[in-house]
Amino acid sequence: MSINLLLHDPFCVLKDYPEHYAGIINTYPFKAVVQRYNPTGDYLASGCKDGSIIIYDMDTQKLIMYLGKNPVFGENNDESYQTKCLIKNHQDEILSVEWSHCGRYLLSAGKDNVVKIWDLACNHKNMVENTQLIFEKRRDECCCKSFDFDTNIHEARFIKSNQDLVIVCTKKSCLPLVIDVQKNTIESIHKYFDHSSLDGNSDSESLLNEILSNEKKYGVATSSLVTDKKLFVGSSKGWCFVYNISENGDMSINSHFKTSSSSIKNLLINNSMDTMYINSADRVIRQFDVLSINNQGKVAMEVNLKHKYQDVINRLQWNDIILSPHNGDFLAASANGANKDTGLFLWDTINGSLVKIYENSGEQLYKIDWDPNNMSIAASGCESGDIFCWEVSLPPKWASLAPDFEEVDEQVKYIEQEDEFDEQDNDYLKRDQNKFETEIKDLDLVTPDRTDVRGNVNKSHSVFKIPTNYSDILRLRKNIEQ
Amino acid sequence: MHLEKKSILRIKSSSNAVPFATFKSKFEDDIKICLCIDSTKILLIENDAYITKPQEQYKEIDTDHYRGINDIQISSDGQLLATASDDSTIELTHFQHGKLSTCMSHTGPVTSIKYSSKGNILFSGSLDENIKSWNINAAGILTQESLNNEMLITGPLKTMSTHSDCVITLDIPYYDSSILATGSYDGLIRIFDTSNGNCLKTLTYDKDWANDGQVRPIVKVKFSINGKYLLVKSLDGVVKLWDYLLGRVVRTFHDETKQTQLNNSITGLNFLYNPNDRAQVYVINGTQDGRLEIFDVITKELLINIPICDNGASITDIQVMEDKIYCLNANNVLSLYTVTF
Repeated sequence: MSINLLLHDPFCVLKDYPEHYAGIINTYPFKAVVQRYNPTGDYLASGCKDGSIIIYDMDTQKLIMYLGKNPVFGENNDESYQTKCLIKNHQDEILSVEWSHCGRYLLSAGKDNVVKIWDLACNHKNMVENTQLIFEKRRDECCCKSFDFDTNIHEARFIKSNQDLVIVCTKKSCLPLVIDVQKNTIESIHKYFDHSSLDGNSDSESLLNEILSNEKKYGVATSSLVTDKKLFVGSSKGWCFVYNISENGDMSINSHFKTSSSSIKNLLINNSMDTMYINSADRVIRQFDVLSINNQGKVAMEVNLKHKYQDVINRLQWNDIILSPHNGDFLAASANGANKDTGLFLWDTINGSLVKIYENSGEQLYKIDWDPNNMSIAASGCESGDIFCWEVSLPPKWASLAPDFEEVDEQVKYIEQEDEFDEQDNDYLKRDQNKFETEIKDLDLVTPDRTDVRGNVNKSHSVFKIPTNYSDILRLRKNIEQ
Repeated sequence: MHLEKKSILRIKSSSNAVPFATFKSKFEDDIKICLCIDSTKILLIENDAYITKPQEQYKEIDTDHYRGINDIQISSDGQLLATASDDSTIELTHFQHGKLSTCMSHTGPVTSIKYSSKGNILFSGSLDENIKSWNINAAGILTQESLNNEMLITGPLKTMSTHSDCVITLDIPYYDSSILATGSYDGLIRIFDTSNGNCLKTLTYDKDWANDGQVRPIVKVKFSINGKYLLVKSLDGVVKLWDYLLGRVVRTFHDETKQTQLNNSITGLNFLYNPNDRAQVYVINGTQDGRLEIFDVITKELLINIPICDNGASITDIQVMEDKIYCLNANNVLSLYTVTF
């Protein structure tokens, strides 16, 4: 929720994409690889090359949290500042980070083949609002969790409807694995298929059997996308699998289709679920129209190719793609090419035309994220590991410095009103004000707006705010004094 | 509506006990009431909402201020105390671990401070006409090198300077720290964007019925809980509710029988919300002659008008904690009332 937007020029606020380069967030000594905004856009979590995960406060652009052991404190374990968190950092580069929708948990997957769930309230249990606990535990215990895998992993994502379940894409199979956080189990996705109602799912069963018997043909799962009721998994041989997820966590396979012959790097779908974007290793981003084919009571998904986004001259490889919020009218992609100036590309997805190239970064960009609340884009630089930000510029209004000022584009001829400088007696003004006050009958001082100006749902009540870690600040003070 | 007097505490202090601050944790039984005593000390009343004990049994916190304290705020997690002082500094004190840091950059006495709703930024207004913001959460300094370079909290993030006289009061909406309202002795109420420090709107009494050519200094501003309205008190004791998006006064709360005058003391003002009926909102106003007035916001009706202390000392501050109203007057009497709606 941001009331300030109500007072700005609406033409500046309601831009479809950020235009103004806001500068970099210096991540030294870490090298940011992948970053994600939390659901309200207040924090930016960043996974780094060395396995660290750091969190920035976007109000102050300052680092506020380091997941795991703070490196500045070294090994001298001061009893009074002992943290309760027992979990260790990742040992290798972070592949993906994701916030739970309550904003309290962070899911990370690393090249060390470990998936971790971090509870950001770990040391502050007594101050936590009950924001949809994924797992209940005693208040004084650390409830961060770690899951080891025996194969390389690509990424991990929360299931939207049931955040006890986490989808992990591994280099073993085209079927993703599912972690049940409550039960501490890791199983292949087909264990979650609802086998009891055979009549409705017989297609799903036969499809599954076909996939299980031809695993070589489909390659391995490389990327995934979770929406409210669907799970999309892209494979290394260009296949896309669509799963249905019911509210109680039961899953079934909906359909599968081939999009290209090369590995799928990213999958995106817009909110109305009618357009899908697939970034493949063959340097092409394909835009598909999604169709729901109703075949004898079974609704299966199919796709039709609509646009191709590619750079035919430089043959740029696209590192990551992201859709603009709400309707997904714009698509941004970070380019990986020989030319150093290539930064972020932005296309209009309605007609497939290139709108803008963000060149400010001066280096190739890797992972990108788009925050709908502040309309800002954050992208990590491949070489420096700094995070580059673009935002909507909200210029100062000089007219706001005095109550009756107005900014005009052209000169306006001043015509004096008949009664403009008449002395009005106080009684008249008082009556006028009284009349105005009695006319306004309903005043709502309590209910906040449900959405902000840009149409984002106001989540500030329900999303977790990271508590200030005063003991770390005090320890830093001690270090300075020494 | 009925008001019941629960208890009073006569505070022994060499100076005015104003200002004071209250805090109630949402998650556990933690209540804190802080008062300023002897100019530079803080009296901490903990977990005793009804103030049953004598003053000697409550804890005292010493600050490093060498001049009087003008404002006290307790952070939204109840752990950090901020004190603004005449010596141009703001001190941050952790209730358990002691002093955290001192904010030094103002060139005049700091009059008013407020935490952002997320508790990560502190805003301060000063007699030097500036408003500054301070980063509280400096926990993320991770290298020895940056630790040596970075001043922990002590430098301001932003400075907003558009007022032409001292800034006396400021407020931030309860759920939203994107805007900041300030009231100044130049008679202007300004609304700032906290993300870039730009002034977004200016409100004045200029077109008002009470226009007699005098500037009316603003002494209190308070946002309604949804942040859509602004309750403003000027030095003449008149309370107005602004719809600041519209730029008009939508309610004037004033006892018509009393003559307004530009008096010289700042009196308390607060909102009172009925927890059972969200539509019922009241305005509590403390007056110069020691009366507590409660107005209905919708009807402007004066529901309660009672003297707090028999000798008529002005009510310097009012804090509301659910159905409890704490009033402090100029004779250092802290009185507690409970409301039945």
